[in-house]
Amino acid sequence: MPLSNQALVIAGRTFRSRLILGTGKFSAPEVLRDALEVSGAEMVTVALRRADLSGKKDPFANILEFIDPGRFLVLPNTSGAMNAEEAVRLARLAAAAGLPKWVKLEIHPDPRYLLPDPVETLTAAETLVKEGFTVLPYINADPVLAKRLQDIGAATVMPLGSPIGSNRGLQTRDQIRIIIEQAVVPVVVDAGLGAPSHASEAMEMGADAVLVNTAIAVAGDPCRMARAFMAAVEAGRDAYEVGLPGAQSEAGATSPLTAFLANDAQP
Amino acid sequence: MDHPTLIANGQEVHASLPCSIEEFLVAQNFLLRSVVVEHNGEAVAPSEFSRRQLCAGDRLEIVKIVAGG
Repeated sequence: MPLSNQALVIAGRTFRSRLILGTGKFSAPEVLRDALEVSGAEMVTVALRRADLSGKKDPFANILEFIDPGRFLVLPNTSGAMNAEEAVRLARLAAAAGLPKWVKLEIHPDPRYLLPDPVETLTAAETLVKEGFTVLPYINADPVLAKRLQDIGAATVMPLGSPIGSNRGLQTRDQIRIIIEQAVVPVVVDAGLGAPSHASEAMEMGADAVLVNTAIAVAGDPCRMARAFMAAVEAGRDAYEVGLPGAQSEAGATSPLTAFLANDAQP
Repeated sequence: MDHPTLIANGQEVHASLPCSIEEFLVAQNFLLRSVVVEHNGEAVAPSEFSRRQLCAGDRLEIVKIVAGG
């Protein structure tokens, strides 16, 4: 995997890959394991859920048997939390389990759109930062909220491109652009990236990383799609670091505009 | 005879109390290393499972790390 000139650094930790992989929705844990390997991702998200007291066997219940915590940074998310208090409890549980004290803070009580609650997110972030967590908050692409979270010590901001699992790409691109311009921490575009081109676009805009789950997990060939996203992230980042020419209102010829052949057949 | 209960994952569960968290989990057929536990609102590290005692009326959340985005 070619290295970019600038490494991704989050909370003092360096990552070569700018693709973060979500582990949900894969058809089987082995498929997840293989796609993760191909993706080059070094950080993956996991969730916490109540164990089934009836003893029913859930193949995804021991996900850490398929993800080596020695090789990957396992980032617990707080999905399922309805409010700040529940999110904080989930983060503490994950830390008690021995996961690194990092947390993807996501609080989205409405199941239809899964949009993150900004008030609960800011409240939870303040508490968790004080408790020494590295907080990666998932937010709508709100530049004001992004700034508030950075002011209280969030390690990144993670604005959505479009709702989770909607595959609608960077519908919030204008707001994301502002967030990137004003950010003092890495910006990770998370949610709604349904095609490699969406990931490339985010990286070309200057996003520091992207998080992809659904588009890889539910693909007909998740390994192949993981590879496609990896390539897209690298392509977008290369273009950004080199610098893209701005849009022009007029044409700029690429072939010489002189020494045309005369058309002798003209009357 | 009344069997003491505690609330585990929102459900009333009978248990042979008092017992440790570890004993309770084993009785419920959980692999100890596969769950994380919150006892009366406090997260408990697995290293503490054998030391923490459960009493009637205690609230437990038994949680697993699962796949998620």
